[in-house]
Amino acid sequence: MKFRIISFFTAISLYLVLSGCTSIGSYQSQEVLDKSLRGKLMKPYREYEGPSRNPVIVIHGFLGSKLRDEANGRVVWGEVSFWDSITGLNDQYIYDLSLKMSKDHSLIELDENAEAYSFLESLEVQLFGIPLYFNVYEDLLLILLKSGYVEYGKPLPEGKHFYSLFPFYYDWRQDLPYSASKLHKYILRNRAYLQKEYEKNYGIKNYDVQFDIVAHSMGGLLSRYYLRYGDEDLPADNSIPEITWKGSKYIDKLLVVGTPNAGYLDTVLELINGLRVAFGTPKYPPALIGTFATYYQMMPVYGFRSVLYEDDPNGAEVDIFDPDVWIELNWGLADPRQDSILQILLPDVDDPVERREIALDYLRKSLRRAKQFTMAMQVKARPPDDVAMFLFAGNAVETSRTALVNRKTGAVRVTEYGPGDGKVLTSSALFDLREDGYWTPFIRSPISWMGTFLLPAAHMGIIKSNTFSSNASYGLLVTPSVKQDKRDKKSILSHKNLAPVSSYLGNGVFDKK
Amino acid sequence: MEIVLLNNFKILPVIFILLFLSLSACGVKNDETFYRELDSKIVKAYNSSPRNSVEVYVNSMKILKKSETDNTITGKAWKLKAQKLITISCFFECTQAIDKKLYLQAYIWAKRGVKRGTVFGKVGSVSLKSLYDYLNYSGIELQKTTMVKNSNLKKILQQIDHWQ
Repeated sequence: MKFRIISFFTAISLYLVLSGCTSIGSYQSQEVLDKSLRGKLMKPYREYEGPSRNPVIVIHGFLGSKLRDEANGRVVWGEVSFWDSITGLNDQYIYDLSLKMSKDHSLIELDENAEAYSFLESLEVQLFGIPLYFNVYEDLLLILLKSGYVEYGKPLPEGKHFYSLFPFYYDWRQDLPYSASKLHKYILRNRAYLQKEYEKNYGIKNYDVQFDIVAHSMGGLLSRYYLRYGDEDLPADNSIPEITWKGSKYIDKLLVVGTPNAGYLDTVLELINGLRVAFGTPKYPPALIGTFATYYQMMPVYGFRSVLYEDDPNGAEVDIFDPDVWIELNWGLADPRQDSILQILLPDVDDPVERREIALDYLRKSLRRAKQFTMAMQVKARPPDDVAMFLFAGNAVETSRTALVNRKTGAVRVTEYGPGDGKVLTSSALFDLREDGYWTPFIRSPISWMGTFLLPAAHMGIIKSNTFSSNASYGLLVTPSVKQDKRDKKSILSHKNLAPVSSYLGNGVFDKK
Repeated sequence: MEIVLLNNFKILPVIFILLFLSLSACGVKNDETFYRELDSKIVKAYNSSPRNSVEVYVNSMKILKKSETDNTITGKAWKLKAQKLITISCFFECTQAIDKKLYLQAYIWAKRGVKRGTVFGKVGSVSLKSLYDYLNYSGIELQKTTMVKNSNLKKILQQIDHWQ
């Protein structure tokens, strides 16, 4: 009996060892692995350097770069203290972080008081003097560095002669078309740098340098605007500009990650209630974040039925781009309770009525421009064939879908959630127009994606996902763009057209075939 | 008889010159025959099906080596003809090796073509420059292949120089 039991368990163990422990050569293995063998695959790419590979520009999202005051060097964004979350933000910090409001200037004429100087690679939060780091863009840069790109401004590794990874830092509070004009200058500057390097290293003059872009979150909106309109501003008459695809002249591939192409609901909620970035960080009051032009430009587009009236949920959606709605419902900058913050933002204005006028003027300008921006971004248009757009979006986290507004109090509450990355709905990333309530079997979208990757990850988690790193590297390094394919025609494998067919007649003479 | 010879002594330089010229002519004739014989072998190898481009290369190299020590106009002309044939035969061998994924072999043929080939002339409608440029570019590209990188450089160089 004892022998039988031992034999039985030995047989079971042997079966398990033989069938389940390895997937190598197995037909039956159902193992799902967390990590790929990307390191091995990437080796030749890491070693390669040359014009055939497009340089890559990395564009961060909202809150994604450190900002400092140009005049005094004070860090405006990038380090927050836990103490601030208990005592509240100090007045100077609120003033420094705000964009300046003025009745006499348009949004883009308002002078910059801060410069973006680095990625928010990690957000440092001081908890009782002990720094805690929220890893933000470190992972994205690591993926690219491991793929063989060389980050601008860092020491050149052995065997590399020039930079190929260009981080674009911009003031994420500023108007997006304005930032697109800065991106244009940044591209031209680095293009000239690379042309010089290619001439020096390979003897190639005036090489047509094309960039690939990896853009996270709001960075994707900025990049898409740039592709469509280049450095052109929105028309002053509030009309929708004509799509020229001016930016596509220098761009081959655009990889957008967790981008709210059709906006996201949390912008509205935060503009009304204030913003808390993470646990241990202070709350940023509505009037302060209400000065950030970008907030309005990322609000859910009209037609997605994101904000509805509580007493009429099947009626017309709330026009969140209408300033009168904000004034009527006492939202954000139009909320009279925000006057204490307005006093900090407008230290020279003593009269509360005048302060409110300035704030409402700024709100009107911001909403008008945001509406124009969102309209310009939802015109259905196909990019030139030589530009490829890829989307990486999350689909596994409950994300705010619909909010109901109390018409009397202005209070807003989220009543419906949908699949997304926790911040951005999958349907917004895809710009799936079926969210208007009319479902069709296939997606209706103003954006022509060449490829979409849906990942079970949160907004920042997408970047950390192995699926993202494998496919992003593949898209950037392995898949040739149309322009790269044309250039690659000069391949040692394409020799068929060269081969002479003549026969040799002797004495150095060939027949004339 | 001696007197006659003495009388003819003045014309001895003329006789020597004539002798030299006739010997030279004979030599040219011999070299020309040498070139022609190899060339006929090349015609046969080149036009055979499948083309024997190794044979073309070896015989062209023989012509080239001979022509390098031959400073006559004929020698110079055959040198260029040989270089042409070397470029073409190396191109054929290199591309065949590439198609078979034999990148080390392809590299050696590309380097042979670059080392001893020419950019001047045409093969039918194809310019020699395009073939030479292809070999040059292939040499650079093939150098990056694992087969070439993992091989002994000294041995590769020996193989490039070896032709018989």
